[in-house]
Amino acid sequence: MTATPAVSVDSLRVEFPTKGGSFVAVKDVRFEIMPGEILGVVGESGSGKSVTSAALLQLTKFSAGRVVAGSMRLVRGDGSIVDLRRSDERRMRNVRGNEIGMIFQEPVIALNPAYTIGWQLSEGLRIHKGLSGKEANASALELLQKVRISNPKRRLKQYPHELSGGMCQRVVIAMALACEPRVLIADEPTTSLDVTVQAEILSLIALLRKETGAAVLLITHDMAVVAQMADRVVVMYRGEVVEEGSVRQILHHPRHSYTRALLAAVPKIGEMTGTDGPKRMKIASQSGKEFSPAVASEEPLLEVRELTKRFPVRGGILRRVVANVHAVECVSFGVNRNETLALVGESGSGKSTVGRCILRLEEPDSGELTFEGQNLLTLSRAGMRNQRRHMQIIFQDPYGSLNPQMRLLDQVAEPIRNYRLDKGTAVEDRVASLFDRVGMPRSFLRRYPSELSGGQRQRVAIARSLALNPKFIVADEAVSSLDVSIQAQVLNLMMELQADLGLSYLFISHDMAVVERVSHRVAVMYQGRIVEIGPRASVFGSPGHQYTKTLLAAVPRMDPDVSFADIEVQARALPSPIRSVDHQPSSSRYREILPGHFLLRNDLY
Amino acid sequence: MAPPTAMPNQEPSQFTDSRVTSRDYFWAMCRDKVTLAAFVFLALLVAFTVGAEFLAPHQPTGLNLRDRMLPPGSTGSSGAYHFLGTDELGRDLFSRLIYGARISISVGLLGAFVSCVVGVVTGLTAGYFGGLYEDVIMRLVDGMLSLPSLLVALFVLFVLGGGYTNLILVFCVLHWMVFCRLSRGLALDARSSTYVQAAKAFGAPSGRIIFRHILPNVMAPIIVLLTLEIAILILSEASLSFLGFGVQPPDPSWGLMIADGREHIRSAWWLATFPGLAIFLTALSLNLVANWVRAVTDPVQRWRWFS
Repeated sequence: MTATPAVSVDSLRVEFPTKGGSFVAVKDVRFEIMPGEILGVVGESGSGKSVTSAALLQLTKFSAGRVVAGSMRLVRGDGSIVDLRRSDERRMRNVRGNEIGMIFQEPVIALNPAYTIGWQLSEGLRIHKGLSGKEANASALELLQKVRISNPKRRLKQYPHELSGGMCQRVVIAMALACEPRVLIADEPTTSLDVTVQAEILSLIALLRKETGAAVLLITHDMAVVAQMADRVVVMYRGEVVEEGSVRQILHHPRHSYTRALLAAVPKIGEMTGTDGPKRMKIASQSGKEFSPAVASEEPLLEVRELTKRFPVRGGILRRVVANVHAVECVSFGVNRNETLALVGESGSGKSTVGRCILRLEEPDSGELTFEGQNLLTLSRAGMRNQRRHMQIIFQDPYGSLNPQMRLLDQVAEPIRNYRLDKGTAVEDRVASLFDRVGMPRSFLRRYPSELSGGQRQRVAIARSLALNPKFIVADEAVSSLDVSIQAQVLNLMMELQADLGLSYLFISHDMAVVERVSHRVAVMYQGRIVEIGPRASVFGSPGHQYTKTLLAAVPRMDPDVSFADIEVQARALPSPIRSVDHQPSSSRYREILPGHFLLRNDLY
Repeated sequence: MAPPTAMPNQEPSQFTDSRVTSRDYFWAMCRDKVTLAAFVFLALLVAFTVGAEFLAPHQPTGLNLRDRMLPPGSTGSSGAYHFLGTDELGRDLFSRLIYGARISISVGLLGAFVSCVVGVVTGLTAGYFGGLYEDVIMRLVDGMLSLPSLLVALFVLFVLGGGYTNLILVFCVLHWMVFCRLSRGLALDARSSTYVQAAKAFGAPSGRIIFRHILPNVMAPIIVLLTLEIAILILSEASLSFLGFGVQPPDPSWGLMIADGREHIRSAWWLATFPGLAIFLTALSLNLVANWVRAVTDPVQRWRWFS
């Protein structure tokens, strides 16, 4: 290890031309990365962290961004220095891949779907290293072995769509490593991945850093990821570096108020040990008023029995059903009044399908849904439409769930008008009071969704689902796309509303730390079944099922002393939920291990 | 190494108010000279179509056998100036072009608009509801798209007789399918979007979801197709009238004028050339404008036009 930094950036400034003059995305940013060091850059959306990394590779010009000031220097292997700001396109092509490897956020998009993994890997080797076809193939295989992908020989001949997200990310990492770069930029490398896969990929990156001695620039919004991965941390806010220091210093003694606020907003797993109910986030609540989260009642509101949903896979000219995707398999649970039941699981576990089946946005194949003593599945279209007044849904994506072409007033008023609950100006008054309720200024009533930030949109979406005074709300990953500080505010809002209005939530999420914070009871889903269900304190305190244990172990801790190195690196293949048409799975059987805490007895496939 | 396809996830539009006003469209248009020219041409065309009575120098059907086949720029026996010359019956070619535009353009506009409405309504409902209804509609579309359209048009117009109304009806029958296919695809896509799911959960009736929620969000590609279809219909009208099955004489139409001019192509080149040029320029302008509309309504690349 030498004392000269691999990359040094000084007073960097990046601007984007817009309608109203230029927008400064990055201002006066300065940092250095030593060889073999992981520098974590954290910040929320719009903080300029991705723009900074794009500027390093001169990628900002593809989205019209201009580097207007500052210097970016890269030290090559032979000690010569490349000025990244003034290099021409030909030199940059050499730098990209050869000197600086890039790992993208969406591995599935970063790979070309039209070519095999082997072809894409050897392409870079042939271009940058001038290897022959045979040599390139051999080193492609070597690279795949290096990133610990299972069955590397077979992967060479496969196409990206045949691999899982985690495997694709391994391939992207292999591509980034192809020319043994001295610097690796990882831009939110695990954000789109499941938490268990995230742990695998992060430990792989940590391991590769040790093996290759590359300098790593790790960009992320997740404080816990930084805590466990980085040596030094740069905190960015609105295009500026607000704080820089070693990871321990930032975590234990943050100096800047923004860093402190950011750390306070992150739910930390394990901090709820010894409590039963939910607890509000440690930030000032929007309305400024204190509240204590609701206590669940014993009175049942919703009862789900043996719910099953399969999606047919069609094939052939006649579009016959050739197989079934077993999305939800024999799922049973109940939700009491004023209670939050969290449904946790990874992507593809069927948790969202359960939520959609309950509202009959998706028709279940079999099972029983009872809401306030009424069987929902026997209801007619009109009957169900009436019933929806009492049960609502909040979606994950606040950008998608609001119609971009309608004013906020009309969107929130729509349910009221649909059910003719009010007329004329009374509708407007009602919408205005809903806006007050969720902490949105009334001046926004006549605006359009595109003028709002993500958190504001989610507030509007919540206002809309409250418009009908529902008793039950399905929150389908309602806070997962929000920045942590906004997430904390929205979570507090949801808990406050529950306490005030006596709502029940089905809180669907993949984030164990958030779930621990907000729920009374937890159900863990895996492969379409609930593998474990019980009171939150009991499930988190003494998890019984192997899968729950794996899930909890994979959650990144806010602790630099716990490292990812202990976690298993080998990618595991998920069993496929696609089954032949005549497959008849057994129904779920449970055993009670603690009061109210049940464990699935079936073997999973 | 894959090419750097994934952009940094912060687009400039995220930072600023991304609403685009009509003023932005105007300036974006002014900056693109070719599109501006196309747009000005179409505007002039519409002005001439609407105000033909005031703008045409002569009567389109006014015979004057002494001034037959005058070349462009000549002065007739009565002292009248003929900008583009006269035809074999001594009628002023420029005035006939202007009145002909009225028919060509209105057939194109009305035909495309009616087929658009029919196609979009069937397509959106088919895509949204699915099931047997969708199958029936889409197989019908498949079948009709495989008919040789010019032949069918000739046959139907032969049986029913040519003329303005029948022409529009035939165009509608033969062209609604493209709109239907496009909007079905758009509806399929929109059906799974979250705002439609949300609207469903809030008890919005199906009609409202389709026309209030889905339609405004899928308008952009439909408008592009509409613009292209207008150009296609103007061309088809010209061919049908040229073959004698469209607009009947003495009404002027561009296709009919080319048909008349064909016999005199050696002695009076202007008779076929100017209507041909008019058709060419109209179709070209519509295509250019359609291309521009597609580009500026594409949320991924429209910042290039407004920055």
